[in-house]
Amino acid sequence: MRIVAALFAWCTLLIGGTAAAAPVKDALLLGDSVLATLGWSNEGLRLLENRHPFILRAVSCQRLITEGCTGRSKSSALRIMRQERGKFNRAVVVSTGYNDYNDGRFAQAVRRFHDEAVTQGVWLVWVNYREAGNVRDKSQVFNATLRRLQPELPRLVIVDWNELSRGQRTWWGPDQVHLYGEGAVAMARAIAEAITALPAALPA
Amino acid sequence: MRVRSAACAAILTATLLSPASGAAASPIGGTRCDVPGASVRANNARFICSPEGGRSVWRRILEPSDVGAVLIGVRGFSIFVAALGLTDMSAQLRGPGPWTVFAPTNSAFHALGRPVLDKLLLPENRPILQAILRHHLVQTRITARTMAAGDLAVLDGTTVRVQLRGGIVVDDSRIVLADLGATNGVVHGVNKVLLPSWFNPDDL
Repeated sequence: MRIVAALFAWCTLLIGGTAAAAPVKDALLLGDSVLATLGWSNEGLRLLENRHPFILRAVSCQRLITEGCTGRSKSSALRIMRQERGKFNRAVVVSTGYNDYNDGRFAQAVRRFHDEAVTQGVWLVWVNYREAGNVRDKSQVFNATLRRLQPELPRLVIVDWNELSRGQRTWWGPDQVHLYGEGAVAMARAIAEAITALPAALPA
Repeated sequence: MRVRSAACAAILTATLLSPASGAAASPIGGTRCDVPGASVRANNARFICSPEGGRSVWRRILEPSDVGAVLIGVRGFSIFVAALGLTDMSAQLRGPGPWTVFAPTNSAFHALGRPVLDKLLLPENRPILQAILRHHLVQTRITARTMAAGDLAVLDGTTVRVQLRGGIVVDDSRIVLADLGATNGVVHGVNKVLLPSWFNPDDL
């Protein structure tokens, strides 16, 4: 009888051990090729990880609510957020949209992310867009849309990346949008500070 | 003339209190750090990680590292520090507290407009300035994470309203830098000066 009990306990431990879930992170970071540079920046990764453990899902050509422009970005950012549900508990950080079209659907995309953030019980942190290079016009429209939507979307927190990065010459590649290492660290810091400033309580 | 001398006094105070020059002479001062608000002891001195644009660097601060010392050590709050000095409130902030300080950034003070700022710094307006500064102090320690929506009693006997919309909003000011820890409290940087309802700049 004792042997059976011991075997049962051992099996329970074994099953429990293999089924142990990964620890829940603070944040899910969704991004395109701009944010993807963070994945190459040890300093940026360490800085963010030390303050807020996170999941990074950044892939070139990512779009917000539609398929991206390469096979690797077939899942939209919103779809990835849904897939990662339960693996983070404080905030989803959206740093993608440079590959989306300025076709009037950006506001709808922001609202859908906000709805999903409400469903998942997290804050929605949106890194706004560099108004520079060949995305200047589109970014201006997107940033204005974010500002307009913020009063009606209580969980939407905007990181003013366009303002923070103004005048920085060493953060960018030739297109003035994609990051070099120093810019990736700065973006990591901006995201970390935004998450730090989030209260545990959520708006009604 | 008096306006100018008041402004000069404020700037001089801020400059004298600034630890930047001392920090540069230290082996750790001026080097990069990861966690804004973190503090360490090194080279027989204490340093705070000061966020400065795209990077954060270690800055030497006074000891004990109370909220007053933290405010001096972190860049971007020199006008608030100077105003505290003019009203002898620096000494109060060295007391046991615990304090929560909503510290307006220099940009927040500049947004008041030069004429208003200059008049506030005049000796005859010291009681008004002191009341406004006390409007930024809460005599309990509240981190961003534990911040809740509702009214908070501040030291001038009135209240400020905390809303959780797009992050933490105090009256109509937003927390832009959260949780700078000190031995006797915590400092949150805010992007607007909190003005009591009785304050009318035209009365200055």
